[in-house]
Amino acid sequence: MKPTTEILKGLERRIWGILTLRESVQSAAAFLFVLGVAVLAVRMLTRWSVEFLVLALLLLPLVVVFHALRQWKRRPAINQLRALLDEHNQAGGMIVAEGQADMIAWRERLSLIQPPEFRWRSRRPMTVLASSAAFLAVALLLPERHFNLQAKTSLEIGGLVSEIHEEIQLLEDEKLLENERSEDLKDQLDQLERDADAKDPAKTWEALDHLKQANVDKAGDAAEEALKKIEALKRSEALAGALGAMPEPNEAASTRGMQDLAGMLEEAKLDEGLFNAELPADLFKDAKAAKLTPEQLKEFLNAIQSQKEKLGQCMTKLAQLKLIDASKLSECQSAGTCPNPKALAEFLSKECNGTNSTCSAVVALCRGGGISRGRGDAPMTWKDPSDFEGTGMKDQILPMGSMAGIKDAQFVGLSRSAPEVTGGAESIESGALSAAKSGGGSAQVRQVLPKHAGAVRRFFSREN
Amino acid sequence: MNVLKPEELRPACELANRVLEQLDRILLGRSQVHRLVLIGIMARGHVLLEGLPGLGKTALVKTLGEIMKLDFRRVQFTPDLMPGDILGSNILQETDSGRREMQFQAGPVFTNILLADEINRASPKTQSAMLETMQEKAVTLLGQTRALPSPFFVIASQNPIELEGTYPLPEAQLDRFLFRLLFDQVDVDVLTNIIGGRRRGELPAPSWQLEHAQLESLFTVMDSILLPQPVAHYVARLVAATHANSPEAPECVKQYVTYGASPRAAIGIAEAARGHALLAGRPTVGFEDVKAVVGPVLNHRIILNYQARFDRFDTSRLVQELLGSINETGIRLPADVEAVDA
Repeated sequence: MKPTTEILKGLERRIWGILTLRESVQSAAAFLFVLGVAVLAVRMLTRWSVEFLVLALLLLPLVVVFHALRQWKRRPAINQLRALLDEHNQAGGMIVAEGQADMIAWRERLSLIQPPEFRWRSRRPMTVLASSAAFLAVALLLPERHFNLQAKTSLEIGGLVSEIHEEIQLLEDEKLLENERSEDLKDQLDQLERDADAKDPAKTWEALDHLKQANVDKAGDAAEEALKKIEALKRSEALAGALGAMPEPNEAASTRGMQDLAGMLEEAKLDEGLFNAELPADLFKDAKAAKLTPEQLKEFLNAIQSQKEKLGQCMTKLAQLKLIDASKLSECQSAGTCPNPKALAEFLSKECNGTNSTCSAVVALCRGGGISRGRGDAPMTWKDPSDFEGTGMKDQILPMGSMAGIKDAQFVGLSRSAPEVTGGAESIESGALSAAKSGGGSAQVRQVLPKHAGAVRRFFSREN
Repeated sequence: MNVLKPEELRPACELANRVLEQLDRILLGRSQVHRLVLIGIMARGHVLLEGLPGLGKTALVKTLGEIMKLDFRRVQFTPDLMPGDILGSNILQETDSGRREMQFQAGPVFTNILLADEINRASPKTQSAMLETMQEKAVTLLGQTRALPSPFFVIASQNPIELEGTYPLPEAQLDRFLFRLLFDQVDVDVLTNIIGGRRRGELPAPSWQLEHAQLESLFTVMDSILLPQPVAHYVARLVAATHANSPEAPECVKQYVTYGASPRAAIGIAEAARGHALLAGRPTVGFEDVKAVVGPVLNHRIILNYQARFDRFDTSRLVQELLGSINETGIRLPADVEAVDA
């Protein structure tokens, strides 16, 4: 037999435990439901990560501790527990009286006391808890497309944005765009990606097209400039190469060639525009003064080739990003290429006497002409129009037309349209005279149609 | 605090149960009423019996008087019954010496058990004359107070039909009755036994009678039955909850009760519960004792409003709802948590 005090303590613990469990389950169900709603709201309305909300699950043990403390404070008084035990055992007040009187004489009867068990009908709260947990799980695991309002309205432009980003970066790397402008464009692009809304895609696409077109235009300008500079550089390269490879030394040709080389490069304005092709200033100065030694000439040639390659690489990159057409790239690659450097060198060595320009020779050789660019040796000139002095017109008498029919012609009407040549066989296409042919001394032949024959006959056979 | 020992309680319990056994043997089919009437007597309270004629109210009181060897008188209350007819009066008498003097002629109230038959037919004046006798257990006449014999019990009866020309008992007088017991019709089996075993309805004589000393010992033991503090608190909460302004009052009380039970009701419940515990052989009053007696104690002490009449809501139903709403332990367990047997 357990003493009543022990039974009462056990009873107290059981009540505390079951009420703590009950309150904890209910609170946990409410907590999970609210958390699920919060997760849904965050996922639907914002782009925030929900991980910090999942961390809130760590608060669940605190909820249990809170309820344990709360129920411990609210635990029934000892008299109430006695009353519960008394009422449950139908002890007729003997257990409650034990607290205020000596009941030792009734020990035998009190030994039959059995503490009650507590049953919590937990099906409903457990179901609610499971439902809340399932709701939270669904809120966390459901793919975003099913409920995310933000995702529904976002426009998938990541690929295009990164492509334009790459283009801007290339233009910036190649110094075709200023840093400030490049940063500005990147910011605009990022803002565009953030604000992209599927509900109004036209605006986004239009803005992206604008940015893309700006890049293409910039690349096109660069390509045009590069084409010119590459052409000039190639010509210069051809001339420099020819000067260095002359079979027989020709002082006059060398002097003139160097001066022409410097002039050609100066005329190309390599240090201006988008591409700043810098050639060694001292060599350029010496070339201008025609004082380049063979080593210097070789060095100068290398500098020209280097600049040409730089431009070529830039064009290749632009073409790879499709900022310029492949045709433009091939045009750049083929521009100003000397088809026969050996012949040029031989020409300069033998033919050039220092008075005629070496450039014309280079141009003559380099501009081979073609389908699209025309002949290289046919410069376009815009002068006064040709006069007709010295030219004469030969008089020619045109043969007379057939006028015989006109003489006896009658005026039948005025056509709005221009007359057509019918080859003499004129026919009326409408009215009663349809298909009637002219000719035979009369401009018009009346044709009596069968259905009128009777009327005509009656007209002519009428009396009086 | 001392509690009765088993050897002290057992003889009293056996005596009380023996009285009950005799009652049940003589009067068939009303063991619950017998138990409550005996509890009322042990609690020294008065009992109001309510039922149709011929149900055995008088027989019960007469039999009780015989078993307890107590003096029994019956007064049939009528509208012209005067207080003096009950209490007694001074009349001029000639003594043996030939001298004439006023002598007190005791009325029927000077007895141990008074059956006030159809008490509601007497005039209020006569009814009020009963007040002092019931409360003080004494009669005061011409300035002289005469004590009634001890023990003194009033067992009154009321006829719930033929109410024309009756004077319903005032609340103050109703409150003086410990119990109001309703006499219902007995069932067919009981009727069959009565018809088969009782010629002309004559009751058998009791085979055993309670001596006066034994009755006094019963009263002594009753006084020693312990009312534990939580049970007393439960009684107090029950009575308080019969008032509409009580925080623990159930909705039906707020809706239907005009006046709740008085503190005398709480005292009555406690005393009656002691009697119930004694019959059960326990030295202490338990919650089940309170529940067993609370109905008859409260059913005539709670005044319902007209709305209750319209809704046919009576006090017995109210008491049941009251018992259902007041938790005896004071522990507020949630509805979905229940204590079950281990």
